[in-house]
Amino acid sequence: MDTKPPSYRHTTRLFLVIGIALVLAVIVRSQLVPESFGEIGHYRADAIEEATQFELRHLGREACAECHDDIVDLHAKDAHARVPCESCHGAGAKHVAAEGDGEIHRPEGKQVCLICHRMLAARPGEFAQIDVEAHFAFVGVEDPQTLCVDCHSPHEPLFMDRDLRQARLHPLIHRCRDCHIGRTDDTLPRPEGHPAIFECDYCHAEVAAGFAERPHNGVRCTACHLFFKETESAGRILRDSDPRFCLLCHRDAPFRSDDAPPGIDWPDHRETMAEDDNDLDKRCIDCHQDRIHPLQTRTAAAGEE
Amino acid sequence: MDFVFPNEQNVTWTVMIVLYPYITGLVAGAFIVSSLYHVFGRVELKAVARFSLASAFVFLLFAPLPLLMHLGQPQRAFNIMITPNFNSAMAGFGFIYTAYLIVVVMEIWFVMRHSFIARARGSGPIAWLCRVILLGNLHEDDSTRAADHKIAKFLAGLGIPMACLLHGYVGFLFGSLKANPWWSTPLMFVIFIFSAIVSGIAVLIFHYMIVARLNGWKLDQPCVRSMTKYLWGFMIIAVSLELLELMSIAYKQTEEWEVLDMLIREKLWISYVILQYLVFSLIPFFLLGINSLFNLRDRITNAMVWTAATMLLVQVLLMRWNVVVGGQLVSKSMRGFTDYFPGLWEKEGIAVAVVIFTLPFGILWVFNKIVPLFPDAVSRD
Repeated sequence: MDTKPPSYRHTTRLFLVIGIALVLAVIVRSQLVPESFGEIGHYRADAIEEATQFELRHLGREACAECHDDIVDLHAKDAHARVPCESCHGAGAKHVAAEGDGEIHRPEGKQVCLICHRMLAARPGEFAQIDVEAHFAFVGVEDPQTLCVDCHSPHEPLFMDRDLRQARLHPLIHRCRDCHIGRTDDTLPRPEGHPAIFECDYCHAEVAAGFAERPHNGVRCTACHLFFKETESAGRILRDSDPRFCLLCHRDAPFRSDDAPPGIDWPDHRETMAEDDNDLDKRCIDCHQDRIHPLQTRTAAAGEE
Repeated sequence: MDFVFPNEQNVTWTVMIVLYPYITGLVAGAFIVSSLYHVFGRVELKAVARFSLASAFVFLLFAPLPLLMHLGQPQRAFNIMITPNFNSAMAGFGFIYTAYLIVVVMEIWFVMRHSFIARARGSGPIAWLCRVILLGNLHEDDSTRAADHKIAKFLAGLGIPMACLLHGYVGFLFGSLKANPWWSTPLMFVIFIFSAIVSGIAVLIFHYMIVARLNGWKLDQPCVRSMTKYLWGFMIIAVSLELLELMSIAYKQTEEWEVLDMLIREKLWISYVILQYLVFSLIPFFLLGINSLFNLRDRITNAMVWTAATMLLVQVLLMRWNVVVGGQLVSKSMRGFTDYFPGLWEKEGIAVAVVIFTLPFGILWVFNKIVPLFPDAVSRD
């Protein structure tokens, strides 16, 4: 049994080393703390001044418009109107400095588009989101290497025939995924007992009835009547009659399968069918309205006989 | 009105952040075992007392490595020490870690001083290294040993709340994030502490039995049986707390339960329900329970306990995965999920994680070459 009283002399060096290390740490720290640290918050006050000295790398669409005004105007009327040029093309300062000679990013592949458009439950229902596999099946694309830009121009993705901001106001159109997590197919019938919500046939009963009997009946209304939510109760609705919009589904292209919607050889189809020069300006719906749904006047839509 | 749409498809806290609480937990658990001997006088644990202290130290050295691997600018990590922000939960790690490391290093110095002196009296680079560690003072007699014992006991006692604080703090990091329904619970740090103790005891059993077999040592059976009982007890508490937390949310049916229910049923069904609970909790529970309640033959006990300890090591890793990754799979909108599985060769991938987890075992081997971690080991023959 150890009965000797403990002796702590051998610990002196250890505690001395620890003490010296602590003092050194305090000295080193005092040297490393930036001079302006803590003056106006828990950061270097000088950082603000330094940040203002950085050369601007993003110049905004105004700089792009100086040379590419045609593209900027086109861009401004379509669905990507609020997406800045540099979101896809990267910072433009070097491109401007090189007077337009290169130094700009040209995005490639599907992933660039899917950064914003990949189907994510977190995104609001009204935002355009793509499940690539389902989308390709819907439009009959059989080659998985097909790119978004093979059909959609990034500057004019939906070929809108009018400026979206000038389109008609319309009460909010709900989608299933506004309430139901993960449910993306808006064409499925409502189950029995589903709470009443504002639906297309509420006002457009005659159109909806006619639509159900025609070849497009598997397509939800908003696939063609583009709707963009603007407030919590309303948005802009656009009936896009630009033929290129119809061709997003109906264009005859090598990457499409036999099951795809009927393919049209454009513009040869219009030229072949034209009886005179006036017909060369015809849009798809001028001849094929009966394939979609009966037309309806506004008074009928408002419930007046 | 220019903007880019927010993106929730990436899981930012990767497998490195899974590994960080896991290794930190091993530290806390191993230290608790060491303290059971040094402070609470559980003499049956003497066989692994030094080994557990050394394990705590070595795992502690590697605990920040996954964090540094995760950082894009790891050199900036030290800013939390230079310009400390006491309101930052993240900064807390720097202080708690440093203080705990000092305590553990000092405890090792006092506990193993006798062994260091024995090596320092020889010649060669290891002897020279031991003289440096001893700060040139090789004096030893009964009174210095008595002092070493007293100080070591004090440091071991001081280390217990610090070990709890260190790992509780890791749980606090997750539990205090109120925006995440899978993490946000005051029970999180208690759960983390108990699961840390489970993983710490499990890694000691796992490693001790392998080392004993490789070296042809006879296992200290009372020590194994004692650790078995501790492991069984702590795993019951850890798993019960986790289940109680889950049941509490499920029973309350708060608005977040809708998405958490889907998270469990769809995203974590395999890793959480099947693996963490049904396989890697239930089987060790029975294996350890049988050995705690019945006196089986040593050979059978050792095989069952080693299996249970290994499974519990996996169980705690799964728990960390399900907490860290599971919580990030839920969209902030509570409407859906994203996916994550690490790549093999990524900077924060599986290969790097395996290397980081394996390195401490290598360092422990080196440690054992300097001072024996099992001084009382007896050969089987």
